[in-house]
Amino acid sequence: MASPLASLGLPPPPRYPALTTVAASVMLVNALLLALAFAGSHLARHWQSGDERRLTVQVPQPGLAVEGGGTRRDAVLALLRAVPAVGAARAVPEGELADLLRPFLGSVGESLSLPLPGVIELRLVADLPDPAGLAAQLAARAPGTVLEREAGWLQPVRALLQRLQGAAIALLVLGGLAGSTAVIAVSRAGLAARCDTASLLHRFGATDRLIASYLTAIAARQAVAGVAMGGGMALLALGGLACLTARLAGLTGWPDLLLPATLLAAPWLRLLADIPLGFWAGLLGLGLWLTLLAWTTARLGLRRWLRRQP
Amino acid sequence: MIRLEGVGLRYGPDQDASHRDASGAEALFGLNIVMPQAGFAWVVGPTGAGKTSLLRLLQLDQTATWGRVVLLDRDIADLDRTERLALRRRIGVITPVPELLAGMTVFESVALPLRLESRPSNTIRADVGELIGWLGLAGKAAQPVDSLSLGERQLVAIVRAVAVQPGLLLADDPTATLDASLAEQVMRLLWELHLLGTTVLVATQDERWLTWQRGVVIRLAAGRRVDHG
Repeated sequence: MASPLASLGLPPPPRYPALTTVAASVMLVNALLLALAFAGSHLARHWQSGDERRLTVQVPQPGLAVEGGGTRRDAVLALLRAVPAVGAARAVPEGELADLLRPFLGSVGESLSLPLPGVIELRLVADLPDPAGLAAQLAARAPGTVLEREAGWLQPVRALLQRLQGAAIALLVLGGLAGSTAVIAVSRAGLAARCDTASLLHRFGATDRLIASYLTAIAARQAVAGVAMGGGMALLALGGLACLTARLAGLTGWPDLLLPATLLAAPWLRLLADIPLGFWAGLLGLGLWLTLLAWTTARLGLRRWLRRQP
Repeated sequence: MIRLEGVGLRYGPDQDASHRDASGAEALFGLNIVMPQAGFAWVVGPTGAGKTSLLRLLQLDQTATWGRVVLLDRDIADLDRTERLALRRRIGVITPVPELLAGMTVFESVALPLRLESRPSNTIRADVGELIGWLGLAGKAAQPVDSLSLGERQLVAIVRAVAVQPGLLLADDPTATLDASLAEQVMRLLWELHLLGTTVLVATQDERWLTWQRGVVIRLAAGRRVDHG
């Protein structure tokens, strides 16, 4: 059954100037801030999980032979595996090391034949009782060997990430407030253009509810369109950033950049599947909030104006 | 019946300045008017006399500052918002410049007040068709009102106002944009409506109409009634 409004044969109501554009801009900015907050939180969690008990040992000239047979790397590994606090000791393969360095040195690094140290990753099951003593033993086996506790250099990284996360959340709140204010402002500004029509319908005895429904439903439609546009642009921007980051990290199977030619080739399914559920929920919540805000502001403004009419 | 007893109107600071009396904020003073149902009245007077203010008061666009107003046997001071809405539906209004919703066709424009009253669609089709045919707009029923001339748009506004067969019809200078022949046709329509039982008030500056048909004359000057009627 047709609604009473549809049966009146009214023309499409006047649009709210700039509401779609403003909603799209607010959605884009806030979606990017939301992504920043999520990325900060994810990184902070990643670097805080179990890294206190990870160590790296660098062995210069790892292939040199030592007394009693074997290489310097083998000797250091054997010593480390004999320490009760060491749960696992793994020699990082040269290929993996080259992959790690490729973003910094490029293919030139391989042709230069740089004397790379051997790297051994350690995972402790308990605190080392005497780290200095162990370092001295390692240096005795293979002079120049260095024992690095990751927690040391991780400390400033963690502090930075925490600050980044806090800043992202603060920016998100500020962006949300500023965006909400902008949406309220444009929804209110559209009222003047509606008064003549509202006045005419009021004179014919149309109810306030019917007039408000007719003139303000478009605010919700425009906000939804803006939210969809802004959200889409944000996903495109994040996709572009992911592709760029993947390329910098030397991962294969990602297009160089999100240019129109490579847009369809981008691994969108992989990208979308990697986005945490919380981000989608936040994006949806943001879109609903902006739509509700635009519609409510427009409706309340018009109802208030109508109530003032005799 | 319409009855105004000692009615005055003062425009407040929050009211539309374009309708203020030229000499100040007070537009009407001590008006007394009595009109029976199905009466016909000419409201005359120079610019700024208060003709439009009186019509705005009667169409419930303004509230009297003083005095008592009874419209269609209802004291408007006693009405709540819903009752005012219902009363408003029984009042037809014709403005000097047609007020139509852009984007609607001639037929839809005229049908709008009827649809707001939830009249059956076949009745609407018949009534609207007859009226727009009578004023020579039958061939333009499906045209958007924006494509019509000013005079044609005024005809549409007039047809729309009379289509609901209102209990009270208020026409403010309705023929200002029409040629002489159409103006007379419109006046005849308003007179016919009065004969059918509608109370009609026509505000005009053209006093030649007063000799065209007899009716009550309400003469205003500076917001006061000066015809001693």
